[in-house]
Amino acid sequence: MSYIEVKKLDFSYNNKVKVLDDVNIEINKGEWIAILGHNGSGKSTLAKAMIGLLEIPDGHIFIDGIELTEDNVYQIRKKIGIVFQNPDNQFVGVTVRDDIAFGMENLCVPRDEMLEKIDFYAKKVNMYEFLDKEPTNLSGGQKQRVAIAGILAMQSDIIIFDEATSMLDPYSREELIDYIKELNREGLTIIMITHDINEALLANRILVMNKGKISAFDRTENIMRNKEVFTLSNLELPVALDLANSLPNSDQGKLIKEALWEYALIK
Amino acid sequence: MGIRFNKVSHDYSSFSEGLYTAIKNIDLSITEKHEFIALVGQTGSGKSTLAKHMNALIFPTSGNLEIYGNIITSKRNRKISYNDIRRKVGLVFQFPEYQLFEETVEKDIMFGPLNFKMPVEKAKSLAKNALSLVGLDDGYLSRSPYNLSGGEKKRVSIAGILAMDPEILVLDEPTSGLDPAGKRVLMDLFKNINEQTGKTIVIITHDMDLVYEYFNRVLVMNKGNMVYDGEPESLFKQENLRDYHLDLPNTIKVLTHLNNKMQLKLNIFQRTNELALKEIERVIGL
Repeated sequence: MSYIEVKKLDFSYNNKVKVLDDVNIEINKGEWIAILGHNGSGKSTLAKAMIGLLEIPDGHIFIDGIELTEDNVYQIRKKIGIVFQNPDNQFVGVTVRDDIAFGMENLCVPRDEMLEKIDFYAKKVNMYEFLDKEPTNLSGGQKQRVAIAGILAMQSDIIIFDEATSMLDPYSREELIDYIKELNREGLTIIMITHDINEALLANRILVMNKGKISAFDRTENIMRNKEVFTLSNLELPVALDLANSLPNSDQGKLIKEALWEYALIK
Repeated sequence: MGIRFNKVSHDYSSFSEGLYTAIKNIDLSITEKHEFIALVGQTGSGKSTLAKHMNALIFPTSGNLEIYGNIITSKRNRKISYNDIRRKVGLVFQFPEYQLFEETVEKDIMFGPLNFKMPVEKAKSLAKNALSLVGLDDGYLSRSPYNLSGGEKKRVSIAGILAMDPEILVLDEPTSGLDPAGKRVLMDLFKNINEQTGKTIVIITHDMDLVYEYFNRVLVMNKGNMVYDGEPESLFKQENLRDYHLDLPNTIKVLTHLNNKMQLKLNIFQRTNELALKEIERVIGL
């Protein structure tokens, strides 16, 4: 069995239009998956379903072999955490310290252990010196790192990033991406919902959603060669590959194409 | 006319950090017609504070602004119609979708026009028109704003401002969170409005690709100071781009890679993919 399995998942808000329509996914431990798709394609709904934020939809979700049910949703959330687009929406604590503690408090982690973990994970995300600051006064990238620390402190090893970089300035975005790379190298499973094709290129595999259905789920390189999916789902190719596709197949054209592909697929 | 900042500073006071100067000594002039301006910079650099001054939503702590001939200082002036300023300069916030509150999309878009005493029928037709401008069909009019996706909500809220027909539009990150197609629809829409009606539009963004492709004037904020006011290309030639938390557009990055990798002599400053392609074809002799 794969680390994450989604089987025959259907969901609709108010029994109207299907937001998720027969979604089947298998994700391995330690993989980096990017989810692409137009606004309203069901990406965020899928993410919410996977961490049990929706009332249980039709179908099955297994995380590390355990099926998500109403009864074990808190157990599942120990394994899987989510970082949202707007960091301001996910803060509950008065200080960074309180915020990292929040998840652990819910799990009734003993106080001594909790204090130790707060220090440890704050250091890990380079936010130790900010522990007593108000979250409101942090930069966007710092806020996202605090959110990550809270998730790591619960010993989760799957993190969903739901457009978590879309509000960051270019520098903070790059910093966060570098940090996510490091987490992935350490073995965390990364699921990244994004509209940024350059970010998606970093994934091992890309899942493309279109009107609630999966229109493709394949290795990143194969998705980039799949013109049909790009047209169908209204995606834009990264600049380098858009250029590569338009160049002629002359000798020099081929060399440049190669260089462009190499550039696009650098992780 | 238009908007002029004269040595404008703005301080906020915060419970834990004390007094904090968000923008310092800003001198800036924006003409009322034909400008298409990008406002960029690090999170917390003062972009949104600057934008909120543009329609007198907040007042300067020191210095003053001239907005359509009205002098805005730190004190409220009874002789100035702030309502009038706010109708002339439309401001769309960073999370316009949080401001949606009516039962239907139509009522939500009509709210602004009705608030400015427009007749109901007129407001209705404005709403319909504004909705189609942002790329949503009539079917959305009767839907509840709460059941829309993030991108759809964003477009509805922008339609709400368009329906008020402001003379200058100021938008705080209107395209963040939108898919590439949606982003393009909106940017093309703003560009069209700018070109066809001559309305000046100011857009806050983090997207350097958009800045390069669409804008001819870019303002850079860094730690409360305005550190650049000019056209995008010279900005991207500056060495201290990283200090401002900015990055190069993708076309420039890709062409630079090709130059290094293949010892080509491409002119890397190409605003769009099409122009970049032409440049490659020119250099390899097609």
